[in-house]
Amino acid sequence: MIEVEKFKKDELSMDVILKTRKLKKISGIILILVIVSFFALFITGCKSQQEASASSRYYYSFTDSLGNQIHLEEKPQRVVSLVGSYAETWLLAGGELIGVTDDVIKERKMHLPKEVQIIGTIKEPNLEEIINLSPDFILLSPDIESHVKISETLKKSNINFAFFKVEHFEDYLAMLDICTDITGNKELYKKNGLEVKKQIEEVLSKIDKNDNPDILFIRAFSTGAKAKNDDNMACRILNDLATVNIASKHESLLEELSIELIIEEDPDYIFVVTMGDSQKALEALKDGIAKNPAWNDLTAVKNDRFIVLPKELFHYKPNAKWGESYEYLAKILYPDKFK
Amino acid sequence: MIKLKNITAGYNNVEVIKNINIAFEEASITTIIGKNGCGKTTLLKTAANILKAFKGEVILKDRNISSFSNKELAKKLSFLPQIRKVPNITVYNLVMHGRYPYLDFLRVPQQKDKEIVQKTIEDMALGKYINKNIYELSGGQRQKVYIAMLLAQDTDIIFLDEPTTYLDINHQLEILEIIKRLKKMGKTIVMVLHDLNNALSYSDKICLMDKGEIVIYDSPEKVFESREIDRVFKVYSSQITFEDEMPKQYLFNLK
Amino acid sequence: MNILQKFFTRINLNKNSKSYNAAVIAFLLMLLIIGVFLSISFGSSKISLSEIFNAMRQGDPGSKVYKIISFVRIPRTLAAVLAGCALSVSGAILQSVLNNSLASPGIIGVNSGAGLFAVLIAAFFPANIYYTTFAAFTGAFVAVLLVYYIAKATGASRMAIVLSGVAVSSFIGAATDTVLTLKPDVVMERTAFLIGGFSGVTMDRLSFAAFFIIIAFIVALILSYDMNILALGDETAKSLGLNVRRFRFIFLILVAMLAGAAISFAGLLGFVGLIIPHVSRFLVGYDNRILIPVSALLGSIFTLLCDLLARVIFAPYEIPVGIIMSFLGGPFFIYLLIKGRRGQLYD
Repeated sequence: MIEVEKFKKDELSMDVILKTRKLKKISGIILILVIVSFFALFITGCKSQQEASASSRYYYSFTDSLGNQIHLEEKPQRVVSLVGSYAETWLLAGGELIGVTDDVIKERKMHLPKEVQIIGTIKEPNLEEIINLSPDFILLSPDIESHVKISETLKKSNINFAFFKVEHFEDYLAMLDICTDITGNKELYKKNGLEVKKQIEEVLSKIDKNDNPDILFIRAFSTGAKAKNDDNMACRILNDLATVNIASKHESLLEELSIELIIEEDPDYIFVVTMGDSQKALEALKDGIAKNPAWNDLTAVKNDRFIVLPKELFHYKPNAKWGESYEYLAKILYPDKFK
Repeated sequence: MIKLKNITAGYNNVEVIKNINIAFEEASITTIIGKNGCGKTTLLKTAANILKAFKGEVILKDRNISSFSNKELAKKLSFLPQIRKVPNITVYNLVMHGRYPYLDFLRVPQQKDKEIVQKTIEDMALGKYINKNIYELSGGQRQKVYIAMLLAQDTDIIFLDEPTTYLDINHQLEILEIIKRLKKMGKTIVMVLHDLNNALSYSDKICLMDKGEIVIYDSPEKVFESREIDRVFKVYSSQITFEDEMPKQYLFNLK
Repeated sequence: MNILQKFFTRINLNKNSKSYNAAVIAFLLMLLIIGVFLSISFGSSKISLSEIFNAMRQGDPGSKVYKIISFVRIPRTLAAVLAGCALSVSGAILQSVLNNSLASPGIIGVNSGAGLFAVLIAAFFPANIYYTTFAAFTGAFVAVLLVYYIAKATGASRMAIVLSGVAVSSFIGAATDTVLTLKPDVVMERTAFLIGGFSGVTMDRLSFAAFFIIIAFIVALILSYDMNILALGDETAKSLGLNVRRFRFIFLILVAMLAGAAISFAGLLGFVGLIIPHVSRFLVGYDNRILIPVSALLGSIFTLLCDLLARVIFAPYEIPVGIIMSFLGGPFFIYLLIKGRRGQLYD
């Protein structure tokens, strides 16, 4: 009895303190405060309307690989590249960098001055670090989702950026053209672009278009291996070198390597490029399809034509070394024509 | 007054009870008895609108039961299921849930609701547990809290599915006495009981079911005399009468 | 004694009292405000408080501090708060409605639905990658509707919904895997989506999601009492006049809205929806009128904290938020379990 009385008294004083019996009213007020503060933050974010560029004369304009019209008001001095290969291309065009992604060091093993900052990984660049460098031009790839997402914010904060898509040599050449236009260094376009093109054309001119070895191109990684075809950079080189990719006859190889199909076609050469940890990838290949006893009977394997290709020339974009890639393969395929 | 007319009902398209016609009188206690699976709970749930019948109508105060809105109906009849989870809630809050049909849009209990809850808890002698969590209580006390919730719901008709099963004997009898009090308040009680003696000694009317049909629906005395219990359950029933006003008791032996 | 003194002595009352609840909410609100403040003040680049203050006051859109605060930190803070609130509330609702404290929004198909639609956009309409947010939200919603209507065929009981959710999720998962097999280039994006994170969020993506989150949250608060009734069991709830089927459907829709909206900009952050409601129940019990707001606050605070750590610990590299959450949350939750509070729905 007594405890019930006490409870009643407590409740009454609760009423006084809380000023209202309705808990809902309190949460309602809190909610309104929360919404209002969100709105305040939202509006602050909106305040940054970029001023429309008054001048009609730009330093340079071009169209990027997503079809955006890029207008640079001045020559960019503080450039950040979110792709390692584009960082190299920019340097080859005579430009300077203030920020790069870590694949520059980890994959390309480029040596950059200490002042160049690492701003994250190619997959997850750190937006805050990028903005903190006060860049005036950013190089992005349209194939990486985080880049596309970041571009929205870059647009809002009025930082110029451009998307580049480089898969084959002509893409690199086009990008180098634009970049050297921006840096104003057209001799570098000749040296790192046109001369490489000449190098490639020289290689291709020596090839007999009717001598077509069959090849299989495999991309191996630690959890599997797949054949590759035309859209791959190395396969394009092989195509240009007048080989026939057996994957173009059997598209299923692009999904899964089948020892029966490979035996049926018995290619003259088998080329392998590894992704990720090379050691693990090659081991996986050995434990996978290469374990099959029929593997050792393949012409390519028997005649020492199962070749692991260097990553720098056939997996990462070789950029100015593209000509070397052509020469490397040409020497293997047609040793009598190329010493 | 609640009536079932030609009710056929069941689960998953399987008929359990067929062509049931029965009316439950006001201010009375009706107990439904029968063997397991005979359809007692199905009948109870259909009458309480917990289960929708395949065929037939349930008539409440001369209206089809489906013509009432959920809230309206909740103020007229209440149902206590047999198996209940033990929620993590205080006695006070559970009894307050009985006032749910009466709460407005904001779902905030008014002074009247609080008074009713308070009074109900005290009537059930649960005052000292008022802020305790339910599963600190014994089975019998818990049951009393649920009945308090039903009381707070303030309905004329109360349906109870095996309210005494699994309780200690003293709690069983306590609950049954409370049910008698509910009848005195003018409420109509319809319940399913397993214990035949309890059923016969506490009810005004007995509804004996077998294989989905009503075998006999009459006073305990008449049901006993008809020997239908003996036939359905295959037992030999006997009645004990006392000299003073104590209610009759019933014993059952194997045939 | 003045009112304030009276207030503080009352706080030691039992855990179900109003003053305890009010104190918890007030305390969490304070933590949230501190969290927001910290999240805006700290990041991978070092910016002093006075710099922040000046930059925001001047509002010069060219200043890099202004840009970082407005376009990076504030959107991320908002995103963390919204996602944390939405996911934990949706988990709390679902656990109450399904009477299953192991439920998280994923089991009714939200995650798989969002994943499928996001992958479809990336694979077949890569130019429209901007629309991934809306696609993910739509996918989540469609999946939940599918789950519900399949469950309805067998009565839409709690068990039916769980089973239907498992079936639909695995079917959708298989469909997603098929798309990925046909278009293997999309695989990388899916990994990022699976881990979840807030990098690159912008205000427009957020406002789309925020709209649904705020509405669903308000509705959930209003209906929290009905959730309590539903938790008593289908038959008892029906006896009390609650339209069990309708309310279960409404609550599922709320879960879909909240979780779908959060997933659309944050990817899959699995931990929050499952664990935060548990911790909240340790604090304030099962009454949804308190549990929902407390879950929201706790979820927001936790997500803010994790995102802050994700941005700062290994700068300039970012750890995905989901990983930090599991690292922090997992051991803490184990600690709570061992300490042993009876937070059970059943005996």
